[in-house]
Amino acid sequence: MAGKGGSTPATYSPSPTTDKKKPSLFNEDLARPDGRSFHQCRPAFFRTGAVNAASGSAYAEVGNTKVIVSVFGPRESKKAMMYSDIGRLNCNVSFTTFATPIRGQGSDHKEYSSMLHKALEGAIILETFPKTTVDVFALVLESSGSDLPVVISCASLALADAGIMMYDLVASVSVSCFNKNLVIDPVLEEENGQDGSLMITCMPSRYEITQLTVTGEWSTPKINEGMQLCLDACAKLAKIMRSCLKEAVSDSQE
Amino acid sequence: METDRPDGRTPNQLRPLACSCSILHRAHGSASWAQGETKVLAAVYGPKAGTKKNENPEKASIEVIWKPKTGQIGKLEKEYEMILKRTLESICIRTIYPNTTTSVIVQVVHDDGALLPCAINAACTALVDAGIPLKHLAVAICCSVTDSGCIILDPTKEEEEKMKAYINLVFPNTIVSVLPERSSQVGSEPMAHGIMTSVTQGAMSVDDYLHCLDRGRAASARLSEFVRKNIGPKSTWLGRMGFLCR
Repeated sequence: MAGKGGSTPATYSPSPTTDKKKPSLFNEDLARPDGRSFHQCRPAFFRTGAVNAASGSAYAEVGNTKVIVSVFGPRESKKAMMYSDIGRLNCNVSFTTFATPIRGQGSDHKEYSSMLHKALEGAIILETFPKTTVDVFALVLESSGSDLPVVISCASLALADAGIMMYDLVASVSVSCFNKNLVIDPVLEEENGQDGSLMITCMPSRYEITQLTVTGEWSTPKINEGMQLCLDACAKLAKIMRSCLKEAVSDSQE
Repeated sequence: METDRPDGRTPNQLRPLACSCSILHRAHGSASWAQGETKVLAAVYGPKAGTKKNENPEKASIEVIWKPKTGQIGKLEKEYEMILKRTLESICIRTIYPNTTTSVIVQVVHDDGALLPCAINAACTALVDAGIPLKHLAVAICCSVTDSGCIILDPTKEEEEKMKAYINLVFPNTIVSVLPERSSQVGSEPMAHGIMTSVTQGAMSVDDYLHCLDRGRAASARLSEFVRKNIGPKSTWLGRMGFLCR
């Protein structure tokens, strides 16, 4: 093949670029990598009853981020655990090897399990299942940014599907800060270049926050603006989640 | 609305603070920080050549290793590592030593509440002692919300367990900044009026959160004063000299 005179070369070298500058994350007309406006969330899809073996389960798709959550229990706590007159919550978040662009990169997010636990703990009425444990297992099938908010929202839906008593559904949204711009529901590309991030997990009906995580440098007005942006998005997300639960109930009745 | 606390403190009163630098000789910088019975030891090694696989080689990388008092590292400790890493990354001038890694090892000596703020304060002090260039200092504080909606600062372990919710807040301290004046601003506001890290646990209203933010900021001024007294020009200069000699 290589010996033939008219054959195309096996290697390809791109033409040298004169512009040494890195491409800007946002182009001139202030559109984002996926074409959304700054305050626009990705389309969300939720479905309950994805895993038959579990007490309750849910599947969530927000943009290209795909998550499946299974809930088992309430079941008897392990013998080694001390007596507790309130229930225990055990959360675990794992990534498939093919979830991230680089194989096995999901293992970097070992803190997600603890953060999921904190986010759900405030919304579950633990007094309703003493001496027992509820297990929440989340699996990220595809990671495309804002993974933890999607996991939390999906886990809340799975808990509702399992019949675990909660004060309200939990919705979660994150915001990234780029200089003066606030970007809601960032994708992976945006998360890698952000100056700061703010994630809110809330119970929209009660207007209560179960988790708020801020990293990076934020001024007080920016925090207030970001919080308001997240809370509005959480309220809209909760509506979608409620309609999903209603659909599931009406389907089962039919 | 006054609240009786087991140790007799007022809601806005912090526990006695204690801080000492350069207590480990093999580390490039070290510090011990105590708030009441909570005590944390932090050691800094670096900058060392090379960064981890997923880190940006154009900037200095910070690695945080959390050592619990007993037992193995769990999910909560992993979360603490991540929070500490992100906080330290936002106060360090990471462009000065590209493609290097600075390791921060945090050893919990005793936990009696407000452990994460204590660790952040210790790590920040250790970085100064090691002569790592920082944009500004960071001061961390814990605020908790009682069932009655009262906000108390710097809770003990006993108080933490009874609380409805609590927040760990980290504020920048830019009275003296090594960077130009405009760079220490976020938007039109000076960074001193801002916030760097906030982590909550438990359910609370938005108003409660904002009240905690105000209370925390007021208390951070007292903490900043204490930090500056402890890591004055002499100790900072000695730390830098030690780093250069190595």
